[in-house]
Amino acid sequence: MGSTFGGIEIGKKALQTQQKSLSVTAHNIANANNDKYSRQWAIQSTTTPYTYPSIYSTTGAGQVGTGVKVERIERIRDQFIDTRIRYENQALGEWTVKKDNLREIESIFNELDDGGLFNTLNEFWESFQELNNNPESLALRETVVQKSITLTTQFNNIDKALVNFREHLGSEIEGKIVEVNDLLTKIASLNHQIKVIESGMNKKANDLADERDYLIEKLSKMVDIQVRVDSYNQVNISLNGINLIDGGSYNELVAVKNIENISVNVDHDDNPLTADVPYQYDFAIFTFKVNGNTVPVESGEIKGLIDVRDKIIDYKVNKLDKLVRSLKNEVNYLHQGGYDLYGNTNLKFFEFEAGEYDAAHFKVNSAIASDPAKIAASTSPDPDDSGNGENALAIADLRYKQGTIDTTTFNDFWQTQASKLGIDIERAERMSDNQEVLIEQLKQKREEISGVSLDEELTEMIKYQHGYNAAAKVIASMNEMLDTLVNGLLR
Amino acid sequence: MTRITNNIIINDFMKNYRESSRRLNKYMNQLSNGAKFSQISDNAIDAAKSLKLETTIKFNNQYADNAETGIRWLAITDQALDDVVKTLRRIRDIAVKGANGTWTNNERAKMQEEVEQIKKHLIEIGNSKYGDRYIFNGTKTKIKPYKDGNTINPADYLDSGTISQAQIKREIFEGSIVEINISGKDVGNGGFSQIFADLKELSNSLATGDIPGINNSISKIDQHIEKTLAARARVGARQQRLELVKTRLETQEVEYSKILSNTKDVDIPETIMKLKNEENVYRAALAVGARIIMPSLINFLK
Repeated sequence: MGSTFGGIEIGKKALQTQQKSLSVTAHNIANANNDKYSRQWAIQSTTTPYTYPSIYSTTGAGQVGTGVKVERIERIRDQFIDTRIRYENQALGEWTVKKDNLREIESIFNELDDGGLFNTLNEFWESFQELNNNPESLALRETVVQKSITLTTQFNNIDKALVNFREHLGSEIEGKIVEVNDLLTKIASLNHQIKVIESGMNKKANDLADERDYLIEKLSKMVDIQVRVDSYNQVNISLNGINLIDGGSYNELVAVKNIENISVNVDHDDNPLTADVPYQYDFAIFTFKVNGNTVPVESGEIKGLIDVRDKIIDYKVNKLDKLVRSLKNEVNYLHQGGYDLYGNTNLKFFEFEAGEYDAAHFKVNSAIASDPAKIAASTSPDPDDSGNGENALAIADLRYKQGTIDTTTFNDFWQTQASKLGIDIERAERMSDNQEVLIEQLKQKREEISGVSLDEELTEMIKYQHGYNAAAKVIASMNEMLDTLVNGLLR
Repeated sequence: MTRITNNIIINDFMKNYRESSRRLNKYMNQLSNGAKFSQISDNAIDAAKSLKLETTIKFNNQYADNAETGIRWLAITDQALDDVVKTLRRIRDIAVKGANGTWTNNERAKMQEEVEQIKKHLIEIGNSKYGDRYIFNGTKTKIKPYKDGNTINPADYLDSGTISQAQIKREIFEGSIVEINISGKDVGNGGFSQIFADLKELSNSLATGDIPGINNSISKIDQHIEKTLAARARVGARQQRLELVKTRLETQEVEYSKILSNTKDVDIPETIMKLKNEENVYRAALAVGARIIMPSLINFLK
């Protein structure tokens, strides 16, 4: 025999449970457009049944249910998809950064434009052809000087733009590191909160876990992290074997800038017979440390930035500066062997300022810039031979002379670099496009599982509403019964 | 069963819409700037090809220019040599006249005067210029080659003591070089100065009525004419070579420009078709977009 008010108690529990479930639905509907959110669901279960004693047996008249309760609220999420997204995100970050920044380098070179280096180089050769046609003309010599200055200025500007851009990428890396550490702090703190909440029975920190997953996803785009979940539902994050997050505590990722030297041999005196001298570059290179231990970064946006920075070194040292040095060597070697309008010889056409053998310090010899008559167009020491433009012609013919740089021509060398960069960009673009499609699909899959469907929620809502109404009816009936019992009997 | 949530529909729509507008933008860019690519990375292979073709065309033009200036220089040389031959023939006529029959001193003086005048004309030809450059003094284009020496010694006619025989060169293709000048020393039999000296000799013979001397001069003039004609033939041959090169370079330019255009320029009808097609897709995408905010269950609940 149940207690007098037992029925009301069951009705009350039912009301509370339906109401609680309805709140979960309301929460779902409210977050329908929240990207971080995964839909939640109230798991209902019966409360402990009661076994009533009876006449013949202290137990055994059958169990009578005592009602319903919300056991726990769970979020619906497939951790495996998250793991996949995090993994693919690293490559997406890396290739997107590469694509964007290589594009920037391409626009610094801007080869297809009339103002591109390729075109300026051609105009330089062309001016020497014209000089052969008109070696006496001072006006034409002035044009040659101007075209040459345009060429050297362009080299200077490209070099400056490359170096600046590299510096800019450096500060971007430092910015990313700040962001990484900020994310680490937040994730560690969420770890701690989640552990505290979930240590209570049947409690799930669903919203906090959503927030944490969102932050981890952001982090995975920047560095190649590995994520493990422990028994307290805390995530441990490591970077190539080194712990970044261990429960509620985190280790800061630190970027260290070191100066690295790159040495190349240069022909400093434009004489192929004398020995080359070493010329040294200083470049700032980033390494990453956690707790004083060096840690490699092998994917993600930071890796992309590092790679582009390395690429710029390659472009400067092995492409641009190499071209400038070879150009100077070859032109000067010929120019020094020729004679100017005064019959003077052994003058350099190009020079490097301040003893730096790079594109930034590439200049037309100031003596020639101020007096174009000093261009050694002639092969004759007699100043009367002003119609002799053979040396100018020899310089102009460097354009198609094989073996002036590596085993090829200046023009081919530079064109090859330009196409290589173009192909690199095409590849980065394809890679990042592929990653994007892949991730889009994964996210769509996640949406399929975790996304809120309004129709579904409305159906749930109707269900709980009816459940609530019915429970209320039960209480009303109970109330009538008690009314009969209490008021009717006492009359 | 696949769950389709509202956001899945919206995400898919957004993705398709973005892709469609990206393609639309690509075609519009191609049509508005006329090129298939604006950066090398848009199409690395074709872009590299177009860079190469542009260089070829640029230097073909330069070589055609070089040939053209060479042709003009040679034309002036040719004219001068033609003038030399005509003038020498005129002198030969006078000499033949002077060697025949008897003439009074007065008449011979007139002939001598004419020879002197013609000699002055020839000196002027020897000092011919292309623009401000002397054409018969090798590479010493700013140095006047000849003066009126008034003796029978050729060296006295040289304004600066020597005549340069250095060659002026034009490059008409990679590594292919043509000399465009004839030195004054190669005109006539032993150069302009020899012609002048021989004319002075003739002039002297005419003054004194030295018939054997005049006859001797006639044979010398004949040799001068012959050698000048030979020099003229050389000039003509070079002119012809340059003309041929120029024509070839110009034909090549047309060909290369055609290839460049095929490589670089958009096929406008084709691109417009693609653009139109894409426009339809875009419109359809938008129309679908307007429908995907579908009536949900909410519309049916009171």
